[in-house]
Amino acid sequence: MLEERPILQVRGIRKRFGDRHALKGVSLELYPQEVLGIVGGSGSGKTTLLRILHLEEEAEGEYFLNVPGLEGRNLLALDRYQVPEVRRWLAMVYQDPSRGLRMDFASLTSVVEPLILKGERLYEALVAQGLEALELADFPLERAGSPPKELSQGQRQRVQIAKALAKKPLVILLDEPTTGLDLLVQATFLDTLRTLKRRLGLSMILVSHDLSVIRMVADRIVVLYEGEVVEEGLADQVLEDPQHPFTQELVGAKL
Amino acid sequence: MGYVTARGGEKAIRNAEALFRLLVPRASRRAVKAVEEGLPYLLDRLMGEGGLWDPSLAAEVLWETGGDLYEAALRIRAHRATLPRLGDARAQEAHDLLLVRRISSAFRDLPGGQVLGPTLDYSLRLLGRDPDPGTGPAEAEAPRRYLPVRGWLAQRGLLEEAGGGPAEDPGSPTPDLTDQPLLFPAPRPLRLQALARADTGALLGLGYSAMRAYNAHRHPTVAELGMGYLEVRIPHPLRGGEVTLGRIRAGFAEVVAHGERGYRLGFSASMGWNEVKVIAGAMLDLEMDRPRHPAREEEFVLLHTEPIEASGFALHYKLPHYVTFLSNQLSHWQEVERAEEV
Amino acid sequence: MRRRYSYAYLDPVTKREIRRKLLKAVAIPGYQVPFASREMPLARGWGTGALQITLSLIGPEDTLKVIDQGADDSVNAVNIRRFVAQMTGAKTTTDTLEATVIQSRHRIPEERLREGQVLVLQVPIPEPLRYVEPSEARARELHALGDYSLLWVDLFEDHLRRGLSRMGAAYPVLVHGRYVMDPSPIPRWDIPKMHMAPHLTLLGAGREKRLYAVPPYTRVEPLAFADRPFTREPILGRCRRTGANHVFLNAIPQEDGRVEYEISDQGYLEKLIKGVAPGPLYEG
Repeated sequence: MLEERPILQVRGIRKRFGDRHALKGVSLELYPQEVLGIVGGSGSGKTTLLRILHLEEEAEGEYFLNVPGLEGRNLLALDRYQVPEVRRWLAMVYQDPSRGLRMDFASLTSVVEPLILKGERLYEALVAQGLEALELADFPLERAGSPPKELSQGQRQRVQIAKALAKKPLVILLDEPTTGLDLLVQATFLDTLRTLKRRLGLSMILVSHDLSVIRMVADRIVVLYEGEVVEEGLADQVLEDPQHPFTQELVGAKL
Repeated sequence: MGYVTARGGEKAIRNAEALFRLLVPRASRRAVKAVEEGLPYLLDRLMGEGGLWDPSLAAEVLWETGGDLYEAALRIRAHRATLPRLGDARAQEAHDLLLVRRISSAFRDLPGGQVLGPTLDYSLRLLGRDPDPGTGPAEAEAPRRYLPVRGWLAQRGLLEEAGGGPAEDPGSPTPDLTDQPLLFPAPRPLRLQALARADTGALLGLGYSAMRAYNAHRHPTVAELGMGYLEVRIPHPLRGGEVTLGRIRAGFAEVVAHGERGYRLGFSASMGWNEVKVIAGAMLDLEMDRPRHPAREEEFVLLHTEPIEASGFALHYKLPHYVTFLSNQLSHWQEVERAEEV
Repeated sequence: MRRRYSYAYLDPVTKREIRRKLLKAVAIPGYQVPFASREMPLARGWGTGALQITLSLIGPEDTLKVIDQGADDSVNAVNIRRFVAQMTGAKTTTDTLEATVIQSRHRIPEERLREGQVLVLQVPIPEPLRYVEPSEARARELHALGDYSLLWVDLFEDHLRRGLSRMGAAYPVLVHGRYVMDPSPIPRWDIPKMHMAPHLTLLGAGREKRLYAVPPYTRVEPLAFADRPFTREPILGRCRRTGANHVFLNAIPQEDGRVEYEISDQGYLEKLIKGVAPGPLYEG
């Protein structure tokens, strides 16, 4: 796996909010068909990092995606009008579903929106692809017409997953997707992610403060502490033999 | 500063009043009469906001205050509050008005016709006097009654059931906004009364912001606009039957928009002829129960279009606030110092 | 004492600005060009935008027709026609075929317009994205990006919930394959008349301060899914004076709760009644 080229790469990401240094030089890679878990406490900069990867925030440093037409181009140097082109390759699952979904429209409508953006103009095709994505996300199809505001939190997150899947992106970014889910719902949700990863060979970056969430899905882990990467490696290794005091604390707290 | 000391304060007040009278001399009876005859729309706006129909009083108050509309409206309201309440006039429908102007934007033509009435709507707004077109005898009598558009829409099953606001009990007396506080959600009569007395400019501002959020296919349409005369009738205290006390100018507007099961209808009426007000009011009546925009919240609209409260509060900022000011200053900077110490 | 005005009421600086902006509008079909928009002796919302366009273009050799909802005798149309004639010396007419400039509120005449004729439409809300994106600034960005997904999403939702699009007048159209435009609140009936039309269409929104245009022979395509095509309104009755049902009809309420119908295009109606041969209509 290390011989393959990464599909996503960032180098030296720095981000400041006023006087506060949120990210102080973060570098990482994502390889094809792997799930990278980014774990950290509040103030670690993990959500900021994800927002930068989704080109919602500016930052210093370099960001590359290995896709045709964009090889070798630092995505952080693009202007506003080139960003939508890049976003076609990315999909984001937000912590708060109302940021990723139209809460008053049918769930199916939110799912097909990226397809419409891509240019699909056949109604029947949109419906079919949308339902397919919802089914893959283990969403109850009889509720496809219900607006997210009428759904449970777990169902809303599945709609977000479906929307991401429909898009067929290069990378799916997930920001604390299990927030607000009780343990059972969380377990089934993560199970769905694992199954999708296996069946579809998805590449994902999953951000969480909760190590038990990360360990369920991630192949590799990056530990962020106060804006810096303090540890990284294969999930099993980091969890069984944490090196950095912060990681040890995290792991220790779970055992 | 002499503002506060009792004796110095009284003298300052008297001097201020004298200066005002210098600027705005008292009006002659003739001048008051001229205003009453020549500026009916201005007086209608004033009486509508003041909540009292008395054109000669309104004309006088307008002169007294030098044309300051908010000041004049305040005086009228204050005067009204001192008057004894003799009874309730008979409730009437919009179409009981003797309409001199009745139009419907929803239809090209309808029974009763489109009656323009006295209006400059369709004239050119160019400065300078045009030769008077003059009037002659009418070719035909205007109808006494017009087909109410709302009734026609209802007959064809095009209206949604009335919504918005707690249901009224037809037997109970009409609640009166002047003798109870406005709580939300407002009972429908109180909502409509508040709209009737609202500051025209404020209602327009909010109504306009709601109107601009529409696009053409969710375009609300004026189903009916009517301006005319309302007879004020009370039951005769001894003889039985009814007595007409007189006539006031009054107007109303009904606006419709698409709902789920038919047209939703918004209504507003006021004393006097004030089309901007009733159109904006009817639009807001239509939208005030569907919050997604501040102008669509009943509480937001009704509280902020109260002319006496709003203007009073705006102007209260002229009063001394120096104790508050100093207190805040000391507290605020003190905090900052303490933080710097740490 | 009547002031003396410039020819066609507008001062030369205003005329120049409008003409330049119109050229820009024609060069970029469907794109809304901001302009200063002077106050006119007509209330805002009553056609000041289109009026400024008409006054900037019209000359003493022109023939003007003004209609409102299709009617020449509507008070607003009469007022505008009076004013322009007074200020320009142009001839006026109710005959669509005779006019060189037609200013219209919310209708396109039924008789097909020729090359060389100019149709000026009055627009209340020029922004087709307004009801899905209330922010003016954000809407401009979406136009720049060509991102009309909000409209498509709305259309999808309509089809999902109701099996059809609820949009009636002012149905959004894609012009020259690039900008989505609000065609002004003309009925769906009139939309197909704009596609590859021989005439020039100019649209003016005075209150909102935008001008835009559809040059002759330009594609104008209503937004619709390929497998859920755009349809016009059904014509539900017959004209009570001519029996016609092949053109748009006005609905006129009757006392007993019934409805009667009449041809909306007054000029066309009059020709039929007088037995004068009308011009060719639009196909379909």
